[in-house]
Amino acid sequence: MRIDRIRLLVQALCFVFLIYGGLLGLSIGTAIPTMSCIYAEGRGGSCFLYPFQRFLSLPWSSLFGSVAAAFLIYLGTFFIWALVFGKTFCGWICPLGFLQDLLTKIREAMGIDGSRFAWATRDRFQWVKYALLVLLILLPMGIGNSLLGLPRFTPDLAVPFCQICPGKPFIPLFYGDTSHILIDFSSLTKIIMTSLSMLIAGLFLAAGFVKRRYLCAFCPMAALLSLFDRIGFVGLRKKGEACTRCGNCFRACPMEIREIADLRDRKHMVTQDCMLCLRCIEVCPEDKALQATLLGFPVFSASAEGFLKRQARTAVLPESGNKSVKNADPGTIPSEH
Amino acid sequence: MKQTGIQKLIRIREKMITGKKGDTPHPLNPADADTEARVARRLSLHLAMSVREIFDAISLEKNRPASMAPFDAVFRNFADAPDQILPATGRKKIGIYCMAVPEELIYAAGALPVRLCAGSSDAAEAGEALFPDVSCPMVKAATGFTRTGVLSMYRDCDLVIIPTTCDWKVKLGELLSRHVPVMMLSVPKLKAAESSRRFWYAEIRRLVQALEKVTGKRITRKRLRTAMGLLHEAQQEFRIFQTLRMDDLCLIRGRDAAAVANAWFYMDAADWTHAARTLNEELKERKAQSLATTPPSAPRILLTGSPVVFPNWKIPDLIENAGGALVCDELCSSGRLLWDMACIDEPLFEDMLDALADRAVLPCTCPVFTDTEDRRTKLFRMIQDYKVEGVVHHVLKGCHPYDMELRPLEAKLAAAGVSQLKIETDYSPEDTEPLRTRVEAFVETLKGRRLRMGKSA
Amino acid sequence: MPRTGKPAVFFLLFLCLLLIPFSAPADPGFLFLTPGPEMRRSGGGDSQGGGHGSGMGLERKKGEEGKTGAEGKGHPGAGGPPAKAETHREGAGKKEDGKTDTDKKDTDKKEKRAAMSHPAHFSLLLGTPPEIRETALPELLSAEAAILRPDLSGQTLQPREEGSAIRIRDAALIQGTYHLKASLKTEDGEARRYRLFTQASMRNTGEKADPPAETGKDRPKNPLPWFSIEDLSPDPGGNFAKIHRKYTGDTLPLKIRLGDTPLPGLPVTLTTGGGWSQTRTTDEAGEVTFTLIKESFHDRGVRKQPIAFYVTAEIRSTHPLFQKETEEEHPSEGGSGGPSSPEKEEILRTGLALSVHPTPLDWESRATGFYALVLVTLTVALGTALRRRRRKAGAWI
Repeated sequence: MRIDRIRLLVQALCFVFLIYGGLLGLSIGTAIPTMSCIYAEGRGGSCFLYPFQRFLSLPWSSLFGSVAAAFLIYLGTFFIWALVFGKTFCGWICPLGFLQDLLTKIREAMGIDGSRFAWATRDRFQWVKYALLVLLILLPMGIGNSLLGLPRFTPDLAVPFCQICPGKPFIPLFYGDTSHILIDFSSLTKIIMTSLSMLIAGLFLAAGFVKRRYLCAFCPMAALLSLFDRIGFVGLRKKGEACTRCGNCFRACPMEIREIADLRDRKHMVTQDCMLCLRCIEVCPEDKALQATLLGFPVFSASAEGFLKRQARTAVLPESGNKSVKNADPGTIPSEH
Repeated sequence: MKQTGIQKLIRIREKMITGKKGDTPHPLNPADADTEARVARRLSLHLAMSVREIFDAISLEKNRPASMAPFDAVFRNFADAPDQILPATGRKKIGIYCMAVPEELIYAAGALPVRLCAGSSDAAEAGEALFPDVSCPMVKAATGFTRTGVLSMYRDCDLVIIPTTCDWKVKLGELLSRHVPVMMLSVPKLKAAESSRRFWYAEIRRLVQALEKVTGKRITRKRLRTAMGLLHEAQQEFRIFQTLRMDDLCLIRGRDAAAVANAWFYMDAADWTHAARTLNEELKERKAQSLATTPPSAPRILLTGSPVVFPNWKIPDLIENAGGALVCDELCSSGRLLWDMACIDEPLFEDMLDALADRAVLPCTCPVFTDTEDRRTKLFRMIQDYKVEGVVHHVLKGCHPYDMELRPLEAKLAAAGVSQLKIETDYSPEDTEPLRTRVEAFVETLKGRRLRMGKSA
Repeated sequence: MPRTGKPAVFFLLFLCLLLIPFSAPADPGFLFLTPGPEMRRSGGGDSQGGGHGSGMGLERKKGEEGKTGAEGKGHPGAGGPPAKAETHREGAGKKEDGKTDTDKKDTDKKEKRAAMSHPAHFSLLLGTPPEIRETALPELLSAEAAILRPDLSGQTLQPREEGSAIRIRDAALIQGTYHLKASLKTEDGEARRYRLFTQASMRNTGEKADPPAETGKDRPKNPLPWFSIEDLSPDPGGNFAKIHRKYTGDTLPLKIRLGDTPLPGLPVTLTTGGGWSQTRTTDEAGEVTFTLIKESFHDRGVRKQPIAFYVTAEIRSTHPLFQKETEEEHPSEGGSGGPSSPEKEEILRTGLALSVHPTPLDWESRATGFYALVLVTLTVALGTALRRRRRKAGAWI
């Protein structure tokens, strides 16, 4: 079975669990490093960022005082999740990622060609996710405290990232809850934030038909998780001497990571954008050039045999079209002479 | 003489511009026509002779896989029936000159790709008049064949696609366009830049349009997918074949292996795949029976450098007759030919085109690209995989890219302790004897080295 | 209630103000249970104790449990952490609580989880709306409170120990609705006896409870026929994760009962924190429906804080139903004399405190949001399509 099929299945299961799990009373906590939206009422586990921003919006006195222990426990839980699963959250679990992959599937079925960032564009916007991460830390801090003598920010800026995250309008839709698709006119901040939210949501929808995993390139959670790329349990290794730099991995990579194809001397290939979808391993025709590892032990390796086997199952046509090529009817070809 | 040359070129240029196809070359005057005919006759005779010579030698060999027959049949036709080299088909024939042309596109357009890279020393002689002193024999031979029309396939092509990989090919188009319609395909020399990739994608799209125009068939997503599947099957057999050659036993002679790959030039993909599958089955049986073509004492040799094309079996024969085992080669005519595979990522047309474009250029280790690291890495990997003891660098006289790359490459390989031999030659058999001495000495060195290293002989 | 004579109203108010200091001990008013005040320790919070810490904007909406503000498991707001810390400290005292669980392991596990979860806090308040005294009065310490858990186990809280706050320590442990009750007996200077009742409920996410092993073993007995106001608002169903909240503009159906008997024809008053009040009379089934009016308009900026609404009702011991109920259910108490001697008039009062949020429809526009979303999507999609067409025509080939 092809990995991307398995992945889609796992994603679907995780999606159902994370979004509807609460209805069965299941819950895996509130420090999940994935976009399992807090606004979904019956979720089975929720995004780390919402409580994180909440914590940060407490005054220093309580954040480093009465709440410090709770905050540390909370961060510790996140660290453990991130350490064990790392970027697999992005590629295999994230509900927003799943939605984007679904849109991609729809796009492929409709025959709309995908598009890619220009390399320069891609590189130019690398900082966005870090900027978002810094903002989502600084803005809440500025609500509960006065930063550098600035006046305290308006509480309308509370949980700033959640306000613009595309998960907020879309994930509650799975409960038939459209109440997050709105423009809030109660204050200027709210107007700006909700407009931004609608803008990003619209981009999410439209970009799903243009590019794979468009918004993942800007996700601050990916920036957070990339802290664990080197020490995480799950890894992606490259054997440079086996690589022919054929570029298959780069072209198949939903995140358009060039390093995977271009770098030969780097062993750990989980880069800041990598989401461990293992697509690169699937399309690598060189034996053991790429390997997914769990605690250092290889669990899935690239191989020519596997490559061909998977390719034979990719985009298979309904009827065997071999005839049309092999035994082309010469009569139908108009003569050029 | 110079004046007539210029006139000729002007005429060729006019023909190119008007797009008219020169169905038969009109010689400038009766004397020239006479010369042309004489050259053609001589080439025809000499080619037949050298091909028969090769097969006479082969017939004396024992221990040759019987499944080589379909491949031999193709090459025998070079002497016996030059117009039956290609399979009998009503399909259009598209001549190509390099690996850089994705053959999938041609299959998808309902045509038959024919790789026209030539290896005949006689043809090189026939084409010599049009070239400077030191020039690529491959290009000379191809021009010779096209000019004389001895092998009909050189003239029958409905379109000849020449990628501008090396300088010889850049100018080849002008020479050939007198006889056949030519399309030049500009290959970027820098693999790493995005602009060159985009440029190459655009070139491939231009190729698609040209193919569609020539064949009158639209290359659809479905056809392309099927063609890619076809190539994948062939590549699968090729990989199995190559993996079998990694075995400690030398299951097939290096020359025969080169012939198998060479036959791909002229055979239909499906036929080739079938023949290769049979051969692979036989090789597996031979492996089970421990039936080797060379004694285990033969040092394992890798051949790299300029292409080795039938009937130029000079170098492989030299190595193997000297007692070496030619276990692998890194040549665009055989070892690299079907190794790299395009991946279908999104099942969409544009994406598949890009995949083909990438396949054709990115993993290619041809020295015309600025990147030399790819080739080095590949060689080191092959040395490891095939347990190679010595490397033979084959440089055709006039093949400047390989020549240029050789010195730094030699230094790197020497630093890694690899024994090397550089052979600079052309297609002509004249230097065979001096080369034989050198190759034999090299093989003896390798044997001695093996003894010194204490390996079991 | 037509407000015709403004001076008259002021005069009456003035009179009341004059009278208050002299009537000692005064009319105790009504008893209410309101969520809170756990938030006050974390520095934020508004006067209604609705659990609004600093930075609580609209986001709080979905993070809050119904009208109670209890911290459910799935959404630790700013209120969660301090409460958590408190629980750790009080972990030792927990084990003394009466537990129905016989299985030791299970109990341990549950205790652990209870310790990790956020306790729900409720305050007892006393007063006549809209004047509610928020400070813990000493007389409140004599109130009796009880919790009925969703698994039908109950717990009577010792008034002295708990003070004027009721804390559900195992909140979020059991899924379902927690019912809280409190009552207070008091007297005023004119030797009238008051029995004050109040109730609150809290919907809770959490684990589904096992069916109760020994039903109602610890279920606290009502000391008297309970005078209750039951909130008949539509239940969101079995989904306890569902947010349940009251907004202005909603209707509020109530049922008034004494013991198990509905009280028809009883005047029920709805008072807002701002002083506006409305009185309606129950129908034959003892039911009455109010509309939660918008207390005031957003004249200066938008106010999103919840508004306190109080529902009150009272009956006197002369009420025929009261006499019937007391005789039926507590004949012994009537006979023993003691404090409930017939010569003293007894007044039964019940109160229900609600925190009602201003409806977000005042400042949100879903239609605008929807159109903005569609517009952005279409713009991006069309833009991409156009760019592609142009590229196909020119740039690529």
